[in-house]
Order: sequence, then C-alpha cells, then structure tokens
Amino acid sequence: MRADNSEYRDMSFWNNKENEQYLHESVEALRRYSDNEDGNSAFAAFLSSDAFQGEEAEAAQEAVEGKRRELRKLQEAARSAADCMAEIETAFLERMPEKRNAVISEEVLNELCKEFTKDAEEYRESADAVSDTAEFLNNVLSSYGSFTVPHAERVYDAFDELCGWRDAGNRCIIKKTQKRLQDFLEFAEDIYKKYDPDSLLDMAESNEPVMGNTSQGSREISMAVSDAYTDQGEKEYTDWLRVIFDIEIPDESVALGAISLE
Amino acid sequence: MAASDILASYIEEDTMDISTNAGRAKHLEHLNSLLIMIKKAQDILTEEKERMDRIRTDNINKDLTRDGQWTGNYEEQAEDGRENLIAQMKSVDGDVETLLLETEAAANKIRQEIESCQKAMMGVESSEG
Repeated sequence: MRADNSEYRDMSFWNNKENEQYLHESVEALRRYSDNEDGNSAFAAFLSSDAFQGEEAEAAQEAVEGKRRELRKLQEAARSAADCMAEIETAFLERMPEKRNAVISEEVLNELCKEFTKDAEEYRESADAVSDTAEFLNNVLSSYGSFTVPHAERVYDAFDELCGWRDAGNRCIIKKTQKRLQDFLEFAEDIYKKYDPDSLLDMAESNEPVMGNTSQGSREISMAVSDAYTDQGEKEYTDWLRVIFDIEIPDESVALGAISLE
Repeated sequence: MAASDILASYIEEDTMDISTNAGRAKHLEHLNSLLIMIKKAQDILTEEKERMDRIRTDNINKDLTRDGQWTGNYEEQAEDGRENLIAQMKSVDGDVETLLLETEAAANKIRQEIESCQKAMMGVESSEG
C-alpha cells in the first residue's frame, strides 16, 4: 500500500473543496458517458439493418460488433470509476471530523511539528536556566528575601498538545491530524483497490483482436479491416460510426490521476 | 555549566565574624561578591527572558495555515492550542519579571547592609583613633 511508504506519506495532501468539486464533476462526466445509450443504439441499428448486405457487410458487422463490445467495456469501466470516485467523495466527511473546505498537507504538518519541537526544546533550555537561578538564589540569599521560581510545566504541556514533543504521541493535535489523514487515505486507497478502475480501463483499452464467424469460417478481423471497409462503405455506415465516435469520453488519465490521491 | 554553578563561583566566603574590623572587612567582601553574583544572575535571567520572549513572539506570528495549506477543524484546534501556549508563556514571563524585581530588592538590602557595615567599621576606627 502506498500509504505505508514514508516518501508517499510526506507528500500526502488533501484539499477537500477542490477534490470534492473535481470528483463530483468527474463522476457526472463518467455517468454521462456510461449511461449514454446513443452508441449502443447506433450499433444495434446497424447490426440489425438489412440495408447493407453481402460479404463486405458481414465483415463490417463483425467489426461493428467488436466496436460495440469495446464501447460496453469502456462504459463499464467508466461506471466503475464513477462509483469509486463517488464513494471517495463522501468518505472524507464521513471519516474525518472536518469542515467541507478542509485542506491538510502532510508536508506542512511535518514542518510545523519540527518547528514546535525545536521551539519547545529551546524554551526548556531557557526555562531550566531561569528556575535553576531562582532556586540557587533561594538557597543562597534566603536572608534577603524569597525568589519566585517560574515553572514552565504548563508551557511544555501546551507544546506537547500541539506537536507531541514529550509524550503526547497521537493525542497531540498535529499527530492526530496526520494519523486521521493517513487512515483516510488508506481507506480511500482500499476503495480504489475494490473498484480497480485501472485494470478495467487497461482491459477495455487493450486492442484485442475481435473473433468473428463469417461465411468464410472462423477468422480474425482486426479493426484495421473494418477501417478499410469504412472507406468504401455506404454513407449510412459512416454516419453510424460518426455517432459512435462523437460520444464524449472523459479524459481517463486525468480522472484516474484524481483518484490516485497523489 | 549550570547557571547555579556559574553564580556560585562569584561568591566570596564569609567569616560570619563582625566583631572585629578584619571580620567586617571580610564580610564586606562577601556582601560585595553577592552584589556581583546578583548582577550576574540578573544578566542570566534577562538573557534567558529575551530568548523566551523571542520564542513567544515567533509563535504568536507563526502562520499555522502556511498560506492556506492547512485549514479546517484540526487547524482551528491547533490555533486554540497555540493561544493556550502563548498564555502559558506569558504567565511564565510574568514570574520571571517578578523574579527580576525580587533580585533587585535583595540587592538593595545587601547595599543597606554594606552601608551599615561600613558605618560600623568607621565608628570603630574613630573610637580607636
């Protein structure tokens, strides 16, 4: 799991408002694509049409059937990616006691933790010197008065509550935030793994040859063959293809980038 | 070296015998060394106070959001934690200021004792003369 990698942890970042908007828009686009039946209808109409007959038509129908299967796989992948993103979109507010506009940067949290720890150590050096001086004065000059010994214990506690420099550990605010963020990112990654849109898209996009049964027996018809036929096909056929290729396809690489949580 | 060790090195031994002029002279040396020690203690306290003030100021001015890179409920909790930290630091600072005033009060008492001791020595000298 990437969240186990310390380098990845240092880069963890979540801007809920922006991510929510992006995930929401992506889900909408993916749903539009996956629910769009125009392409399937066009394919079905072509495949059931008697207007285009003969050996070339048969081969073209095999190729179109392949295209239809490819479109369905892509739509399934888009549907899965949309479900995955929708689940991640709602997971943040369900799992993090955070505001909708929350921004959490692991880098900033680490930086603040280091700064507070350094300040706490420096402060303790000075406070120790002050209390040592006061105690010494009480021992040596007791006949000339009493001397207030400043106690910085509450300052140390306050530092501890912020950065856990002594023993607060995950009870401190910054470490608690870091842990919550990591837990959430691991949870989001589990959601991502459950849907595995990468594999679905890889499978859908793989240019596997389409097996077809024609009058000439079982033979492979690659998409290139269908392209050759489109050049000489009738206008009706090219129109159908145009309908299919005009379908809006979201940029999968961008959408997947969003849910990779990087 | 601990502050107390540094301060201890300034103190001259006291004979605790002020019945003779020699004893008083030794006692005066001791009292003067206490004044020097107190001055050194004030220097230490002032220096450490300045350092603690600087850390407090740095923490007052610290941008916890880092230009909006951390916002939300946790960041607001951290703001509350920072406010508590500053309040506790101010409380310690108040104690250090009180301590500085107390050192000055002690120094004044020692000065008075030095004066009395000197007068006593002068009185003895005049009666001897």
